[in-house]
Amino acid sequence: MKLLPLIFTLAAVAVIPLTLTGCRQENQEIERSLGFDEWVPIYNRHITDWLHKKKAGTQAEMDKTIASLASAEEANKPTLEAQLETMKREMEKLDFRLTLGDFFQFKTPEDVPKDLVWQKGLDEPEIGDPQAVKGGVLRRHFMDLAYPATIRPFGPNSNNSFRGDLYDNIDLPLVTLHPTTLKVIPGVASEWATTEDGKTTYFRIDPEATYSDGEKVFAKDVLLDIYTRASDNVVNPYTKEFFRENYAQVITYGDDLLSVTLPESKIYAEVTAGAISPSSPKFYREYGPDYAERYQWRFPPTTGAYEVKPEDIVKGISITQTRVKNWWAKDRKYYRYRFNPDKMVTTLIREESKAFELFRAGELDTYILTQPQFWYEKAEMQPVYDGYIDRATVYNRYPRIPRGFYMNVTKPLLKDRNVRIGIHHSMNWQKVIEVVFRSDYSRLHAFNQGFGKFSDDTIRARTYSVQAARESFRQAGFTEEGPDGILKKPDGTRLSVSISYGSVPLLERIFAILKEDARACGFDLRLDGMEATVNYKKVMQKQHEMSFSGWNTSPPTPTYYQFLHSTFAFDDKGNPRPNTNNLFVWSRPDTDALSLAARDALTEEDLMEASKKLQNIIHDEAIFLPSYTTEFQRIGYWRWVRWPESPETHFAPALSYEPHEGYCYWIDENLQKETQDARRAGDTFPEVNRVVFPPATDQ
Amino acid sequence: MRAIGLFLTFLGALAITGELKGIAFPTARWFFTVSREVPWLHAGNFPWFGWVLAGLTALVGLMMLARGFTGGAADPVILRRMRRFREIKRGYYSFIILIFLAVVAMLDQALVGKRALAVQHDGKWVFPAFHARDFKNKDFGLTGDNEEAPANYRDLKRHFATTGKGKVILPPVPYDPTGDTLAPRSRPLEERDGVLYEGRGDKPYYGLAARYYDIEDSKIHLRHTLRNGKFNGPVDGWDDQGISVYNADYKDGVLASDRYNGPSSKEEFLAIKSSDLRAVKYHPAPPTPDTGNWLGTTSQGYDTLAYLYGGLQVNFKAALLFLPVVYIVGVTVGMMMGFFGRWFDITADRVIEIFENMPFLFIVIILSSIVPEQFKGLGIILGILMVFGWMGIAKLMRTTIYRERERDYVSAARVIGAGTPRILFRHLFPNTIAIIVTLVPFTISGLIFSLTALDYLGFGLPPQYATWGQLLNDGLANLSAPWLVSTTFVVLVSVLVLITFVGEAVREAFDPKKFTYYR
Repeated sequence: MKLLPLIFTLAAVAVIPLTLTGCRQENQEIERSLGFDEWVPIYNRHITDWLHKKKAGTQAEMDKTIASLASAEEANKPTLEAQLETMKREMEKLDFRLTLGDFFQFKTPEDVPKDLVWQKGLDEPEIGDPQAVKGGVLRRHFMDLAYPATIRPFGPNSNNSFRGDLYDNIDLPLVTLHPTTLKVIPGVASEWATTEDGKTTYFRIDPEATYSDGEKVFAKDVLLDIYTRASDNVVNPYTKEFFRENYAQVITYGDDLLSVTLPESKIYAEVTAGAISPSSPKFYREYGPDYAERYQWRFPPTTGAYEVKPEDIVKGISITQTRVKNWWAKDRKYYRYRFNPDKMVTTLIREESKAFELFRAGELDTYILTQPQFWYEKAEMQPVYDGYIDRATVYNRYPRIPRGFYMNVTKPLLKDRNVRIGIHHSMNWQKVIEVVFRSDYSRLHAFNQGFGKFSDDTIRARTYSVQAARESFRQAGFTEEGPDGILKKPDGTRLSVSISYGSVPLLERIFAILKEDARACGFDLRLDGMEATVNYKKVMQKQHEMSFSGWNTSPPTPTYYQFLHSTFAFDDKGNPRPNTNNLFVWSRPDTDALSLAARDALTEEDLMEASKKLQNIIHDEAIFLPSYTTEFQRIGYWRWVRWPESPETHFAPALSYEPHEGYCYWIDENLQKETQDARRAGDTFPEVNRVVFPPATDQ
Repeated sequence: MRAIGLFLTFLGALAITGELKGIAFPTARWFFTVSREVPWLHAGNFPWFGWVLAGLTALVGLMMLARGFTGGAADPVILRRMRRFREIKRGYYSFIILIFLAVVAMLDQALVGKRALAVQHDGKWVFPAFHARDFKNKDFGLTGDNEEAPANYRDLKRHFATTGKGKVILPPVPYDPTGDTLAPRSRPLEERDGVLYEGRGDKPYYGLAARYYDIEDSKIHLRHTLRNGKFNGPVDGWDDQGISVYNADYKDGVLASDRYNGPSSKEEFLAIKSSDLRAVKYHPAPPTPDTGNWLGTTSQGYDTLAYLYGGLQVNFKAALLFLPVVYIVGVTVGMMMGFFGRWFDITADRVIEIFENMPFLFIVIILSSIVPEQFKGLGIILGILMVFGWMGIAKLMRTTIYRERERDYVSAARVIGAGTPRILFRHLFPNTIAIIVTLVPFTISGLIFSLTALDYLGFGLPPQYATWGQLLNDGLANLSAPWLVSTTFVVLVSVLVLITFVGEAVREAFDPKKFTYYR
């Protein structure tokens, strides 16, 4: 007991100096500045050092591979050679980057080559409907039922589900892709030109481009965007890596010209180079190490159509986006019929069923009804029968997520192609689609399906067939049947493979059906459902036998490299390499070559050829078991929300994942009044239940 | 006593006979199936747990039987109490109903299950439900893609009904509680004056209706949207391989637009012969008596009645495993605490306090996330419940023994020279029987309640078990399917009420003071 006062005294003595220094620091007001000019030489040096280091590392690895190639067995040689090829390419890339000089440079307009062919990209079809009118308010709710933890566009917690509506789909980058034809169309840059080697693209900032606060956009602002995201003032490892890896050089030429150089030439180079949106120097005046806290609830001036005013952020309740007055691009082609409502209000509702009731009562204007139980049960309601709420099934052309079983071919049973094919035939996805998805969803047929001309539409997934499955298993040596009906080899090996997945109720329902019908084929599907992060860890350690995953895909081009290349399959010791996306642990020289060819394709034809070949190999080797996919989104909306019906845009741009994307809808305030009056008077309208297909194009 | 002994002997013998002869007797097969299914209950191919449990059951039964004959006349006090119990009608009839339910639950696959009770094929009778091994479709002359799959007796019955080549007798409820996903159900529609009605109702049909290639397997040809009994809205069409080939749109019964992208022509596709229009009932489907789903289906596509039955079985099994363990541990520890007192009492009391202060739900959540999938099951959940279940009875026994051990008969026994175990179990134990017996029914209802609650929260048994908690959860998530939540509620509440009635009657019967109020 006597010790206690002593401890207190000691603690006090220890704490006093800390508090004193703390006070002094706080009292000092730091003079704030953008810090960009000081940062540029630092970053340039950092990039050069990093390139040198990386080159040395690659060189060492290359020497090692050459050495092991000399002593390697004949069978391993092709794999090593393919790896060597990859490293050579990497070296070329690094050498090229080292010849470029500083990452950021500032030159004059005279330095721009004179022989460039400038493009304006104004020959594509219009987006949206000329009948669209401006005005009105669109009310929705936060889709993930949570208020965003921040509205910063980057930094901690910024990768929340609302950022798409706030930034990604609103901000205008330099150039972007037309959502129907996949050609390049202007954004903040009014014209652009690519050099002959395909690596450098020059952009001219639109002379009228301004931020929502009225300030003009300068070429330097694009560099500023990289600065704010890649500087050490913010913890942002992925973005830092992204800029470092994917861009080789950025140069401004005066106020409105700049060039972006990529480490390698590739198709859609302009879009990759022009994916950066400018950032306002006025807004980031106070940028510094405390960025994350200081800018937590501040909306940066945008080049896009909607801004968020400070008074419209009601924390924990709602966020209101307001259409920018006199938006600079409001009469530009591709933009004039979009971004129509004056305001878009997004409210926090913490429960899905409550949100649906609010939609039913007319407090929310639209509601995504893709899930069958919403569409068939909840949405079968009086306001729909009375014609107040319209419903639509909107088919899109968004690439299909490669959702399915990723089979680890290093596992004993799955090494055998016959076993893999047998498993393909013993999964009754058709029944899953009928029972769980009410025949609405469809079977996914191939890996990277739905990339237009880059996908082979002739590939068909293997269907459920007891006979075919048992035949394959027999060929693999599973000739006997145990007392529980599961096949086994004469040496006693049971035909039992586990499937790892992040456990959610929907998947439990699906796998219960698959397991039941797999048993009829003599195959024991062991369910290994775990909490999502535990499962992710297990799969990333390549400890799974089969993993149920779906990787996010985005247009315009399919990727294979990260899923199939041998460098992601094994580490130096020959163990499966952890933390890569090669969940197949697949390595073969021909797929290495093809996946590289697909990644580095210069023309659409090259990519098409490599992509289709790879899809066929994946199908023939049966390493990916395709599951289900949706080809549409379903939406319910009060009848005053109008959607485009023009030759180019049916309901929504063909490449939008969900119909709100593209912002082609508008609010008809006359209809709103008419509908509200009719509701009061008890009048009804005919029920509307539309099915919309995207316009046919050659894409 | 004799009856119970006889029953247990019979059960054990049945289990062993079944195992040796490859016959699956209802309930008796359970010892060996559990032993085979749970990884740590068998060694190689040898189901030791099944043998141990079956042997033990038979042995205990035999011993009770022997005691029944050699033990002399029954204790008059017990007889009086039993007479008293029978006099309390409410509890007595509840007891009879519960016994009846237990017998029903023990009939197992003879009552509920997808395997046929008997099949006649080629003039021979076989009894698949009581066979340890599955028959295959080809054994009954069903060829095609599914010939090597385990026989589907519902299909077989339809097949025999059309071909007349044999006979199938199915159990009264021809569905398994789990692992037997049904294709979506449907109900016939009736057309009057060009308007479609569902059944005999007078309200025109709203919803989906389809023409089927195969009604039982739900192979749909065309699926229409109906409003006011007329086509109004989108139409989907599938070819016989289940590939979507046709879309159309109707406005007030008139075709507005359509598109076809399959082989051959649209006219040929539409002319394919298929069933009459039927109302499509996706899972959870309402009761469809014509297919034998008397209480509809769950959202997983299981038959609700079969599922409820499976849940009842699980509850009885759980009670049978849970009660002996908890009571043996609780009574023993409690008696020792009361009898020895001093340091043993203090230590055990602290242990009980520690257990009582552990947040039970958190332990369950943590354990259910770290236990690998193949070990999850009734065993683990019951294990956790047992670990946290013995303290109540132990504390109760402790206080009783504290009082009883000061009685003269204890000193007398000690003077005669009885050892501690003999004093504990031969002298003290019978004098506390009233407390134990009155507590049993309430423990059972508590157990059923906790199992249901855990399943409801999603930390209970894995999906291959049918549980009322999961059904309740399913029902609350699908309030538009009232047959789920209402039947589960009725069944759960009735069983709990019955058990409580029995408990009250037992307490009353064992109460030494017959009249506790002034007369």
